[in-house]
Amino acid sequence: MPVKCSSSCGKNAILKRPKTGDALCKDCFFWAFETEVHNTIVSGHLFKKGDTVAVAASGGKDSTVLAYVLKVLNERHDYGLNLVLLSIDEGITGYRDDSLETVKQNRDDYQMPLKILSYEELFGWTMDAIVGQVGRKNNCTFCGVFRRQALDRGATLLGVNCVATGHNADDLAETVLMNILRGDIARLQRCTSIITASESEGSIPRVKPLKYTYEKEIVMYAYFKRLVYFSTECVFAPNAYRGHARAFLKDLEKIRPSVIMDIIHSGESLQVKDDVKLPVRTQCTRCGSVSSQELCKACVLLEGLNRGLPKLGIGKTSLANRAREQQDAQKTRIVNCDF
Amino acid sequence: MSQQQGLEITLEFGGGAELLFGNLKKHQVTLPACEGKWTIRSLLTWMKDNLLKERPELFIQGETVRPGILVLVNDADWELLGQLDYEIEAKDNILFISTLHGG
Amino acid sequence: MCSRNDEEDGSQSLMEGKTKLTWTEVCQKCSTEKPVIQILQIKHAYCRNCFLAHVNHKFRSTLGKSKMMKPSDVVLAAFSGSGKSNAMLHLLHAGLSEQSHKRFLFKVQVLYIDEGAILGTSLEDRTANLQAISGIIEQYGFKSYYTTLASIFEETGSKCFPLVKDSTLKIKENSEEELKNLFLNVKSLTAREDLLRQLRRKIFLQSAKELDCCKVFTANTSTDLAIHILTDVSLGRGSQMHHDVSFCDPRDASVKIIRPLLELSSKEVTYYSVFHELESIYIPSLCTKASSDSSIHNMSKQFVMELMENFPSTVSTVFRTGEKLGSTNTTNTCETEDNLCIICQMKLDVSVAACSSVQATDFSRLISSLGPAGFDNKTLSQLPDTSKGILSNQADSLLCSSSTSCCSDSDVQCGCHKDVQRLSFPDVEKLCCYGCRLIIHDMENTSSLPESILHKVRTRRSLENMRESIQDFLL
Repeated sequence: MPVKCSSSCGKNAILKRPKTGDALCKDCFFWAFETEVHNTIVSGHLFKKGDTVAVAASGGKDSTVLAYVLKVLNERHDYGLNLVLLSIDEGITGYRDDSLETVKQNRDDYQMPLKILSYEELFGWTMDAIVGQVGRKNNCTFCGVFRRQALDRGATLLGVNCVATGHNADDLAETVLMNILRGDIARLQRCTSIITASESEGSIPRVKPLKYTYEKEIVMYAYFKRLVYFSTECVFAPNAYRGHARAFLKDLEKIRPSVIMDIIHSGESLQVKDDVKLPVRTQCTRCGSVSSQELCKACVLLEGLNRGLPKLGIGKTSLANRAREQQDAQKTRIVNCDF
Repeated sequence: MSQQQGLEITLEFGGGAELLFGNLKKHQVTLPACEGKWTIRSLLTWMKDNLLKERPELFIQGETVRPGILVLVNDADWELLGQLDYEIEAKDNILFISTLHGG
Repeated sequence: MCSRNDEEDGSQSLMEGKTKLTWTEVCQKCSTEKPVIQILQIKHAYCRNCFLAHVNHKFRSTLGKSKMMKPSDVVLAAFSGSGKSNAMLHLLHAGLSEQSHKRFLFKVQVLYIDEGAILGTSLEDRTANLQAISGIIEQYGFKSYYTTLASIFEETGSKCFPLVKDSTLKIKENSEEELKNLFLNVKSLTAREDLLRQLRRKIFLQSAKELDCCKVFTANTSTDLAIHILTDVSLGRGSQMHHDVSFCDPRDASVKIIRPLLELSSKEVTYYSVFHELESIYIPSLCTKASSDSSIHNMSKQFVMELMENFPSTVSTVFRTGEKLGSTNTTNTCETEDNLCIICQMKLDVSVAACSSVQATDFSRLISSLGPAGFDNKTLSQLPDTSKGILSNQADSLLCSSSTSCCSDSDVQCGCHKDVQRLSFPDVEKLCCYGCRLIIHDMENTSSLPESILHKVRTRRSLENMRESIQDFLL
């Protein structure tokens, strides 16, 4: 027997919302989905009229849906925004080419300008080359750190006011769990904010309009709207630890679907105690980006790669520093021997 | 030529694990004679087939005990004795305690 | 592009994988005896005597450095029959029997809570359990008492009874029925377990006050607390997490709940009870023989224990994280009653801040029930002429409290005019914190809650009605 849409519009429901358990018909679902993102944007004061916003486009479902919905809402509610697509090419053969195709498709379908930046042009290394030197164990670290910087640099190059990323509610809940499991209290405090505050000069704020949207609903929206996206896992093995947290979250969701919002609420209510020391955030002396050390993570990793010391920046700093010192000592010896 | 006899050992359960073994905390068992030595690994398989009364997944996971169940051999931590590879000897006392239930 | 690692910066080094520990020939502390236990956190293998000394020392130093214990204190130690709580009694007894200045100066009484009613255990079995429990405590010579979970429904009279050798279980049929009703009313195991935990806490506080004790000791280990941390976060109880997992829970003004074993892992405490050959009796509870995916608590337990296999520092890392976290609610133990959740005494954390998950969830529920027709896109709120509203179906079913005598059938909407007596879901929900709201949502109706809780709701409601009527005159 067909179930009626719970908004009493009279039509038959075609899906059950994971978020609230309500049954909705297609049109009401689209409307609800879009209105909720609109609500997040308005209540979070994410944009100002006239802003230029770069949508971090990966070709995946989150960024495809984000770009589409932002465009729709921009027109419907007259946000007055300039939307552009920003994509990062990590240089992973096979994987990258397909997702870039999707992004180019987005550019054409949504009529938004697209800018592609590659790790190669920004840092001088592709992920393929990095994995060649580093192996598969810590490659995700490199990729994550570089991508972050790449987005920042790309945003500065384009002169945008902020970057919109497709982080959804599931991502956020997973991050809260991960930070608790790792004991990273500094991150824990920051991760639930919807706008990363621009703490220092030149750091462009990032916003997460899809923060309260369930991943399942994003997929449903894309499916029923026939939005095409690229959906393969990265060929280089994903972080094993995060995989555990993800599996745990999915298991919890089966028991109680609201758990994702509940975890986010917990994350929002947590705060570090006053007497606990947190790392101070300053600027990297080499490239100027935000860092808690003298040299930002990206610069440390790059130095490691360029010197053939792939462990620099991974694991215990003392070991890596010793290796670096040894190298330096060797160099001075050679120099001294030169006539 | 001595006949190969079965291996006589004592199995004890605590912390709630006994519920899965007929509510009996202490079991005197004789493991049947076999080729090679009895290890904890083979003991667990034998227990699953012969002693576990219900819900094997609450006691065994894969080839080892479920995480949260402690194993002591003659009052010593099995981690110091090689865990699953420990070779069982006659008159050994093997204790399985579950730490999974609240206090 | 992989979206998994945007926030990472190599802090993987915080998660050490399992290193293969070498089997040492001798105890690492005394270098003489053969080692019998591996303690992962300090990567040592100890012999029996050194290990027992280590546990005792940890226990004493935890109590000592808190500086909370005074010689005039009377402590109520919660005993459940498990090896862990017996270990706690044993440690307390050892500390009280010391000869010198090291002797504990406070007094100890023991409490056992009978929870058999919710499982339908027979009276004979419950009495047998009670007598077995009494037999164990007797060996220490502590004064002991028992109470039942159903006593939360009793309004007057004493609820704790002395526990001696041949005690029989005294129960009140009415309260037992009400308790069974309450738990039948709650649909999911997750909510039931959470509710049980909150009720247990209430009983500890209630019993401590009746017996004139200022502190309650519970036998939670660091492993238990790490699991609690994950469970609390998953249940939306992030703001109260630090009370649930720290050394002291200060929410009640007169009784503090203390966890003296929190620096020890479950493994250490269990080995302690094995080496001292402490008796234990396993009394089944809600989660006995439940599969790991039956509730959030069980899922968290499974997750933490499995993670320990590959990443042994998990428990201590999670636990340390919990220690450093407080809440954005500035928690003050002297909060006025009005601001506290009626079930768990936590400061209410559901103020609907703009752009929070609470607001987002409420909004989603609202628009799912209104649809585009009943909603104004400009103001982002309900259109004034629609008769629908949030929780409309729940608000309609006004439920009479079971203590009113005017309505014969408590499920039917009655036409009585005793407004004060009628309580709806929103009435109760308003006074609960986020986590307790999830329990309420899981219930068929709220009339089965204990009167002590419903009374508070009614009082607040009356006060609000009064306030509304004099609104214009308040300055």
